[in-house]
Formats: sequence, structure tokens, C-alpha cells
Amino acid sequence: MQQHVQRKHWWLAGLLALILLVAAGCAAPASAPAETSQSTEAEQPAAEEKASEEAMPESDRCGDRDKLASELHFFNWADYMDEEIMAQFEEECGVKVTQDIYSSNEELIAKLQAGNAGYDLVIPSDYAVEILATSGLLQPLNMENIPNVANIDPNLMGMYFDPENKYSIPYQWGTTGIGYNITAYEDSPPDSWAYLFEPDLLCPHKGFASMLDDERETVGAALKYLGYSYNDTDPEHHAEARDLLIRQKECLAGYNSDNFNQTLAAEEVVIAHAWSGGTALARAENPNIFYVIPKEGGSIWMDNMAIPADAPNPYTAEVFINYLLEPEIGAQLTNYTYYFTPNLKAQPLLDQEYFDLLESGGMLVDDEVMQRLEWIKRDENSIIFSDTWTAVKAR
Amino acid sequence: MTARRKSLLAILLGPGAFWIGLFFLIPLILVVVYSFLERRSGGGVLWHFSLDAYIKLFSPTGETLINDFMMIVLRSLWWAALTSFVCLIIGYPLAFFIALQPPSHRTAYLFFVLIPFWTNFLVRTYAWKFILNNNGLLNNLLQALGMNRIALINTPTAVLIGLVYGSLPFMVLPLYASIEKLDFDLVEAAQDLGANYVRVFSRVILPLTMPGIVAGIVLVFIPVSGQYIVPTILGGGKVAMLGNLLAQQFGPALNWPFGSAIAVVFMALLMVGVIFYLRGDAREEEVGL
Repeated sequence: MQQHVQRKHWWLAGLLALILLVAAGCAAPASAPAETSQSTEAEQPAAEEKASEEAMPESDRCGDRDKLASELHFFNWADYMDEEIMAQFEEECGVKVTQDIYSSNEELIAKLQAGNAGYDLVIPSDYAVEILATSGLLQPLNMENIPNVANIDPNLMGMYFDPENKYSIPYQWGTTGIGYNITAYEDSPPDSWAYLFEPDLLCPHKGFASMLDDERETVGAALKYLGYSYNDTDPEHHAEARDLLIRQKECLAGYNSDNFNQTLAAEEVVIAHAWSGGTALARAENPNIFYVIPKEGGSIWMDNMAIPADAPNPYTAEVFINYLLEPEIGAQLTNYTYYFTPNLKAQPLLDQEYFDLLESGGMLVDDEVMQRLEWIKRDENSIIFSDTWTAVKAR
Repeated sequence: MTARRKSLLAILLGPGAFWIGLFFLIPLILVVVYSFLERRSGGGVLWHFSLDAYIKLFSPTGETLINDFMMIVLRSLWWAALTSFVCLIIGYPLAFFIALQPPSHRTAYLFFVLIPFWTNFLVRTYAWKFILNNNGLLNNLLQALGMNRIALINTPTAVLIGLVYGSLPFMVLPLYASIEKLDFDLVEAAQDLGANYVRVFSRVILPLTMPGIVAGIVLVFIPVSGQYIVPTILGGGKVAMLGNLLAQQFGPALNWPFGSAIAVVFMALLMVGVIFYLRGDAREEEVGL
């Protein structure tokens, strides 16, 4: 019996090792940022030669070459940077940009909070800029190195989260509303959150509807449908929103903010709580996809370029920010992301194709739509959004 | 001599002790300490003692005694139990079958059980998504056979399928190890003494393979109760388990003390189970000696 016990422990140890291996395998994609680097190692020396031989105006796009680092570490959202631009910057200025990907502001905040993340440039959304700045995790930008900031729409500067633009400069902005497949709604295209919240409108499409997996956006949409603000923290209003979301859940395919553009395009869902650019991406693949800001209102958000307090190469990051604000580079970027550019000089340079797609798909924002959009803000009481969201998920 | 022995012991045990201390004990202590601190609204903690996190976890909501957080914790335990049970039902005959093969074949069968581990679990779970999707492999097959499509993806059933699939090897291997050691002379003896199949199984085979069953259940139960990937991918985010709740507290909610408190309470609940297991084990050893 003694031997039996020992043998059992031997294979128990083996199995535990196996579990560890499996766990390590699961963790690998998240914990190995270096592997997701997306830059090309293409002909750096040749590129530098070419750049120095070429005409003068090119050179001021690279700032003071002597002060440039050879590498720049960029931490960004997925599908949010044209790799062509990184290759061009390397060719022109001799700086190799490596990009890692995150999928939520919270992931970015957690990485920077842990310290020594090694990133030179990050793209936090509005409320995340505020959290990072007040936590001392961002460094003030030296605007002398970023003269192109003058190209930015003054209406998008000085937002609530960074009133003096001390830490951040707008990158792209967009809206949150409803993406849908017109073939499922030929008689009456959705124009209200009711299409996602009222059982008699939603449940005929049971299993073919999705909401964003995002406590602020999704609880906020329910609040908005009930006639409250995206930022309402009244417990009674949240109880109403919770009940609405629990009732809705039965007819949903699920909560999805990672690839709703793919499920829309592949017709796995016919209606989705969606971001404007993601819906435009789906529309580029499937022309039956349209977008609407519901009559009750949707949300507006802006992502921003910022430099972490412990960035190894802040000067190079500022030069790259300035480069991205060049009119033609800014246009190239937005042609790629399908969101909106804050860069006034880039706007006229955008492809006709981009405008056609967004206009016919209902993604463009005019003054009337702008009236219905609300910013998501975060304060001490915002924790109630997590609790409401947990209650919805618990049922 | 003893001094020399002691230093040798220190050298041999040092690296392991250092490793466990640095990567297991210190993080564990941090989690426990954090659970008694105050939440900082931008993430992280304020270094003030506070019981807020535990109060939040245990205070009843208006309608029910058990609040939504505890509900998810308890549900994770229930799902883990269900998964263990289904794995046992499927795994026991399989392990028995493998153990009855000639030794040369056994290795090959065990090898087949382990092959899925060559591919990342995340990738395999996505593969299940492609199988179970509304327009997926299974539904296309059903349609081709003239049958109705079934809605599987984003249902609790899909989550259970994914959990059982991922955990089955952890059940089969310990079961195999204990069935393989089963002395079949005892089975024969029982039959000679007039026991029917049911009685042979329940009075001889089952008790003798019980250590494997218990070990299999522990190995399935504990990882499944903290699952994150399967409910997210196959449940469409509609079915929250402990892993999802923890990710939410450390992520979007930025409530580290509360996340820590949930983890501590859950560890305590599991610990009770493991202690029962160890006490059973100890008794078994006593009987054996």
C-alpha cells in the first residue's frame, strides 16, 4: 500500500506539470508582447542612405536626426495602424517602429501601472487619459517637437479629460450605435435602441443579435434607451437598466466587442451594438451592412496619442506623433481605420472610396447626429456600472 | 556530520524553496493583503485597512440572500462539479478500455489522449466555435442530412461541451493509472463467490479504483472552476464564471481589493474540499499499513 501511495503521487506530480504547461500555453499570447511585433526588418541601412540623399523638406519630418533612437515601441489597438506608415517612417527617418496590441483601455492601464512596460507611445481613449494622467503614468508632451498639432480641429482639443492637452493629442475618433444587415430589416430599418431592447422587435432575430461586451457602453445603451444619461449612476435607474439587459439576454447571440465586424459581415448576426469604424469594415466586405445612431442617442469617443512617464524614447515618440499628424499621413491612416480623423488638413485628402462607404452606410456624423452623441465619463461613482454588469452576467 | 547534512539539505532544497517563496507565497500573500485594503478608483489599492470587499461579497441584495457575485462563485462550483461528473461518466469506460488492452497498445491509446495538448487550448476552443456555430460544421451537416439546425453556440450546453472536452484527459489519466493496477484476480474471486456484474463493479472494482476517481475529480474540478476562455468563446460572454468575474474586477471595474477578496473566499472554499480529500487519503494509508 505504501508503494501504491508513492506511485500515485508520482503521476500526480506529472499531471500537475502538464497542467502548468497547458496554463503556460494559454498565457503565452498575452504575456509575450515581443512576439506580436509587426514591423518589418526591411533594408534599414539602404533606407537611411536614400533618405539622407533626398530633398530637404523630407528631413524636417524626422526632427533632429541625432536625437532619434533607432527603435520606437508602440502599444496600440488592433487594426488601428497602417503598417505601410510604419515602413515609410522607418525608410524616411531610420526609426524602426515595433507595435504590440491591446484590446481594452483597462489592459493598457494595468500594463502601465505595473511599470517598466518599455513603451514609447500609447493610444488611450478619453477617460483612460484622465486615469493615466492623474495616476502620474503619462509625461507632458513637448509641443515644440509637435508643430503639426496646429492641424487638429480646435473643437477636438481641450476635451474634458485633458483640458490643456498637456498629455495627449487626438488620434482617431468614432461613435457607438447599431450595425445591422438590411436584408433582415427591409420594411423598417432600425432607428432606435428598441430594436435591441424590445422583445417583439429583437426576438424575431433570436440568436442573431449581439451587444458589445463592455460595461460602460452596454449598460450605458440601456440607460440611454430608458431616457437617462450614459453616465447616470442613480441606483434605481441602474436597477431598471439591469432588468432590461437581463430580459434582452435571452434573445442575444452573445456579447462581443472583439470581432462583431466579422460576425456582421459573415451574417452570423443581423444586428449588433457596434462601433462606427468596425461596422464600416464589415460594410467594406458585405454591402448589406448599415449603421445608425439610434434616435435616443449614442456615444462618442476619442482615442489619443500619449507618452508613458517611463518611456525610453520620448523625443522619438514626439517626432512620430508629429509625423502621423502630417496631412497625407493622417489621411492614409484614416483610409485604413475607417474611423474619423481629427486632422483638419488630412480631411480633404481622404479617398473618395472612404467617404462613399461611410456616407452610404450611415456612419458619417452631421450636426444633427452630433446633438445625439454623449461622451462616456468616469468618476468615483462609476463602480456601479461594474456591479450592474455583473448582475446581468450572473443571471 | 549533521551540520554537513544540513548544508547539503539547504543546497538541495534552497532553489525550490526560493522559487515557491518568490512566485507562489509572495503573490498569495499579496492577494490576501490586497483583499483587506481600500479600492483606488484608478486601479490599484490605497493602503488603508478595510473590510469593504468582504462586506460587498457577502451582503444580500434586495430580493435574494445570495448576491450576484456569490451567485457566480457558486455557479462556478456547480459547473465544475457537473463537468467532473460528465468527464467521469465518459472517462471511466475509456480508461477501463485502455487498461484492458495489451501493454504495447496502451501507450498508443494514451498518446491519442494526450495529442490535443500539442495545440494551444485557445485555438482548440475556437475550433469548437467553428463546429458549433449557427452556420458551422455541425449545423451544415445536419442541414445536408435534411434535419433542422440546432442553436448550440452561446448556450450553456456549448460551454459544458467545451469544458468537458478540455478536461477529459485530466480525468482519463489518473483513472487509467488506478485501473491499470487493479488486480483482476480479485474480480475473478468475487465472481467465483457468486457476485453478479453489478455487485462486482460496486463492491470490488469501484472501491479499488476510488483513488483514481478522487484524483481525477480534483484535477478536473479545480481548473474548471476558474475557467475563463470557454465561457467567453463558446458562451458568447453570456455565461459568467469565476475567471470572468475576476477579470472584470481587475480589468474594467478596477476594483483590486474586491477581486482579491473573491479569490480568497474561493480558495477557502476549495481548500475545504482538498482537506476532505487529504483526510480521506490519510485514512486510506492508515488502513493500508
